[in-house]
Amino acid sequence: MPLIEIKNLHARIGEREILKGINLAIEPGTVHAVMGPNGAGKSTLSNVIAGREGYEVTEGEILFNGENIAELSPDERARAGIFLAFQYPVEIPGVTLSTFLKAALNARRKAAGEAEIAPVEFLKLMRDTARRLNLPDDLIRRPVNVGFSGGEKKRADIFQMSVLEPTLCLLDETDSGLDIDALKVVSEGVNALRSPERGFLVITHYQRLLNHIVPDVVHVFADGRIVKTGDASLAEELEANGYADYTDAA
Amino acid sequence: MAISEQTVETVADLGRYKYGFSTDIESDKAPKGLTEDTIRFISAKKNEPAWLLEWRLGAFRAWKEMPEPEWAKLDYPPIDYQDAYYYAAPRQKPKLKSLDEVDPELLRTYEKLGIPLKEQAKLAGVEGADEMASGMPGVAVDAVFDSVSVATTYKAKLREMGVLFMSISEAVQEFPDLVQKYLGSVVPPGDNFFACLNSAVFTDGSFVLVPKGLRCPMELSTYFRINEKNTGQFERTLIVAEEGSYVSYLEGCTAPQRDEHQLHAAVVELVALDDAEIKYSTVQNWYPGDESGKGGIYNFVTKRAACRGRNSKVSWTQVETGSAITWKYPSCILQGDNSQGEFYSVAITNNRQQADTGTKMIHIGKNTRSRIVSKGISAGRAEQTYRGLVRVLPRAEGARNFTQCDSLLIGDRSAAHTVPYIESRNPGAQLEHEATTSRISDDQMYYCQQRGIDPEEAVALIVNGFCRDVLQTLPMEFAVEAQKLVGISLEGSVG
Amino acid sequence: MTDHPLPFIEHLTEAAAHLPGGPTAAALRQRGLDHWCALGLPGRRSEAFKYTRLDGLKDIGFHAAPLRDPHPAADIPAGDALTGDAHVVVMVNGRCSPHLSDLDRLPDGVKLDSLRAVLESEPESLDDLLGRQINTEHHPFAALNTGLLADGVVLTIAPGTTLERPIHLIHVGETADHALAVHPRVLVRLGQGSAATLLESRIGVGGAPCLMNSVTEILLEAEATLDHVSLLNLPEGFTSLALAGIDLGQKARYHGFIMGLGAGMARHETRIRLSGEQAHAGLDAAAVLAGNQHLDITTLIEHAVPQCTSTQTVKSVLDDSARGVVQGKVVVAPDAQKTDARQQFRALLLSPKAEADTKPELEIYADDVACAHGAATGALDAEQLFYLTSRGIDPRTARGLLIEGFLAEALERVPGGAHGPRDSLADLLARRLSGRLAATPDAEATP
Repeated sequence: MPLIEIKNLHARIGEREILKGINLAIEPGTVHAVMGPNGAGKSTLSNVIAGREGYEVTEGEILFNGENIAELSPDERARAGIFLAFQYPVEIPGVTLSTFLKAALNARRKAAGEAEIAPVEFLKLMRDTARRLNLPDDLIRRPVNVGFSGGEKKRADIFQMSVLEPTLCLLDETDSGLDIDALKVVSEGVNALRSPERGFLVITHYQRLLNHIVPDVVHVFADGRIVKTGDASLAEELEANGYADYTDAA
Repeated sequence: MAISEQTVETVADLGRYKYGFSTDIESDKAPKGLTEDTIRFISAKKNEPAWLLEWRLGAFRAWKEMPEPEWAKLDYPPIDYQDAYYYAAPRQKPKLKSLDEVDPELLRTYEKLGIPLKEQAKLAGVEGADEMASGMPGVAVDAVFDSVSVATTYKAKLREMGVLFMSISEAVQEFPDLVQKYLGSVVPPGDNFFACLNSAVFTDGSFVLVPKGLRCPMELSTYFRINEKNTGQFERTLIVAEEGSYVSYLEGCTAPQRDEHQLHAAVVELVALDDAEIKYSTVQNWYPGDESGKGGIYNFVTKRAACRGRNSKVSWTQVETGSAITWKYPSCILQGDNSQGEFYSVAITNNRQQADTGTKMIHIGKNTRSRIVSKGISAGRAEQTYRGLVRVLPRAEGARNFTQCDSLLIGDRSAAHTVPYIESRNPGAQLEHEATTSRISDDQMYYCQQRGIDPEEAVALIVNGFCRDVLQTLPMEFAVEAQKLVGISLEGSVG
Repeated sequence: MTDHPLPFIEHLTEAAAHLPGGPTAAALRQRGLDHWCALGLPGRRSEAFKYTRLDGLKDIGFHAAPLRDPHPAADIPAGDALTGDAHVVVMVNGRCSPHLSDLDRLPDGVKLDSLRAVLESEPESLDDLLGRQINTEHHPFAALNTGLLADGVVLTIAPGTTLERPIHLIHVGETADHALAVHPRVLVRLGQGSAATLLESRIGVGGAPCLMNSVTEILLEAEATLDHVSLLNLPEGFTSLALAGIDLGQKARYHGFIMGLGAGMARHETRIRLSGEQAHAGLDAAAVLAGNQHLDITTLIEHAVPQCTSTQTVKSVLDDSARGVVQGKVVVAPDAQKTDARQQFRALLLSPKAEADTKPELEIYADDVACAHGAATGALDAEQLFYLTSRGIDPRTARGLLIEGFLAEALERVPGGAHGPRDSLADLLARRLSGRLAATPDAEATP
């Protein structure tokens, strides 16, 4: 059974239709990349999967682990195992990353019928994960994303992903605004999480991220549709020729 | 979902006031109403010296001539001051041998107030309880029920060090000269309508004196509770920190859930002499009324500190989550050169609650400094005003003030106002004031939810973050309680 | 109310029979009179006049200004007013003076008349303008002005008209041997999509006290734009009370600037209502006061509908025993979502006897808003002063430079160029600063 299966998904914001019939299935253990020009609806796809308010699904369905998630709120989807690394991670003044993550982790554990994590264990988890991602120790004591540079914000999101261990990871333009060193750190973090039970949907405009996170499947997205699907070589082809062929076709 | 939309669908029920129990203890009440006879009754009941009765009567006569203040942005029906009891005391009990003999009702009350067992024993008047409660440093507690201080813990231990910590009634008996010297010296009897009323009818409260050079090794704490029906509570607190001393004082308040409004008009006076420091923290959680505005405490409180000595310092921290109406401006008169005043405030209003709260910092001495950090959160149909005065007098060369005043609105029916008065008459003074108004953004809510945190918890988390600068100034024991209270107070503010 | 008889009652009752206009104007005056009687001079408990005590007015035996056309003023202190190329209208003691005005070259679509003339000839044309932007019920001096409504200026700009040269109203107060009270009314209507610049100078001459109590009502229809610059430059014995009520329609833009060089006592109040979506109001002020001058700048900006923006920057420089009061209130009505409102008030105290009172106020009934205010009061920065003098600049010049720099932020949004008053304001400011303001002894500025 696919980890997530999207069938004929149509979605709109207000009167504007953005997704015009998406079909996509991600098997556990695979990495799918979605590439496409700006405005093609890539971010909408990730937000619709995560359940963000303001999008109306007019047709089709999303099955996560075989269950239709249409009626689930964003936090319920998150607790079920869906994680979205944001294109623009949000600042939450006064709330330390540590407090924030503890709340998130315990919400998941509670939903799974597990006990809250012990403070010592949590601290160790934080420290080990921070070290693995080459993040400064004080990061967890700073308010979530406040005063972080663009690169730090992205790394902090991958840090959260590593701690929360979701089964489906959505990466929305995670490479935007990253220099090459930060890109490497982020990619290593993602690669470390690759496992047989976990699936990835990597959304990007540029091919360079896919040099570091090598996808199993590449989809070309244009005007709310997947217009072509192929293997990793498709990304290289796009890098060379651009999206012009596809946008015209769409 | 946007918070505003969620609020539209606000869960009706906020019958979740955690402290809304009432204790059925036989009490001793003065007849209903307020006349000179009521005051004579109170004074006689407490066996007070003649000067104090005269002081009370003077205040009462002045009060009768005073108009009730109308400048605050508060809307409430006229209060009938004759339709309340001004004195209610739990009946005197004989000394008890162990906790088993204590009225279980009373114990349950303490338990619900979160008072540790050993302190409960002491409060209930169990002999030898002081020995039980030996592991210093702890928290010394004075519990005031309705009008009367029930008991004070650690009194003897503190006394050995020279710290006086007792109910003000006891202090009047034991140390009349001290009381006479300081009572009304910061908040004179005729200061304002509610302080004047309090001066006439105050029934109990705490008295603290920390002697020269002593750093009080434990937190002093008072729990105030209004228990009787139709009873006003008028406690009076007086804290004197002598030269070079330090004390941290905590105040907690709860009241049972009742359909009618109850009046609370307290006065707190602080005196800090040379190099002395007082830290005064309040977690005010009086019953706020239900979601339609029925019931709840009317909280009209005058709190003022005189930083009389050079280098003296007073720090007010308040977490105001309760009461139907809050009218409260803990202030500092910075008389001594180099003295410092601080005001840290979190005020949360939900449903139909109204609060008009802030501070006054009066800079008189040279190089006096003040700092104001106010965080107001308004949800439901609540309305809240920050009202603050910073006044620099001509002699206050080198005075400094910094004010940060932030409001957070939850839902499109709530309101937040900011009214600072900034008056400078010294060119060497530097005053800065910043204020912002915002709401929890949809992006922040979505981000939290995407990490698995449900909307109600997300609001509590974000609001706690918003208040962090203030909550951090609370003593540890209170900080945890206050954080939880922030969440509880906002329950029902998102759908 | 007060022990004293209510001032100005005689003026009100005597004048009633002789004032121009039909029954509508008479009824309006009667309301003004009633409200004045109910309100009287603001007392000690008046929150709006908390920092500006006007009780003293009752002790001055003011005479009403003559009703008929004034004589051509002998020596108007023109140098105190704004200068530059403009259509000039002069009002002497509240009466429009055609012989001093130059109204010949008005372009098509612009009508400029004396209020008296309009009241006499076509009073009905004022129905939706006169008394619409102000509420006499709560404002004593607006009530007084209304009760004595006699003359002023009516400016109407037709839809789509863009006025190149500014209109410049010069209010002249002129007293001889007795105190005078004058109550001019200015009415302005900008039609849809029109644009104009309105300058006002308040100047005066004469030994006896003068009370200039003006009311200005401005209506900006949708997409109209108005730059409005007011100069207050009156002698010590003068009291200036000015109230402006301004209403903005959809996408209209108003930018006001007040330059306060003082009167003995002055209160300049501006009430702006943003009543059409996406309207913007900017309201800046610079006050430079010395001696015993008192200037109260009070503003109210009401965001009545969603998506409007407002900004305010007020800078005050206070020397000697001067007192600068700034009260600024922003109200965001329920449902006025997406409001963005900013206020910034700063005061510089140059003397131990000067006083700054600041009250920025937010009253907010909508949640999706970005509102902020800041206020700061202090002295000249000793370090900056030292830095400048260490570069060889003499202390007096250095102080002047720092004060100019302090005021620059408020001034920079005033229109410049051939028709803009910015240069003229800068000249007036430089003249004021070359006087005693910058000359305060250095000793006080060094740390």
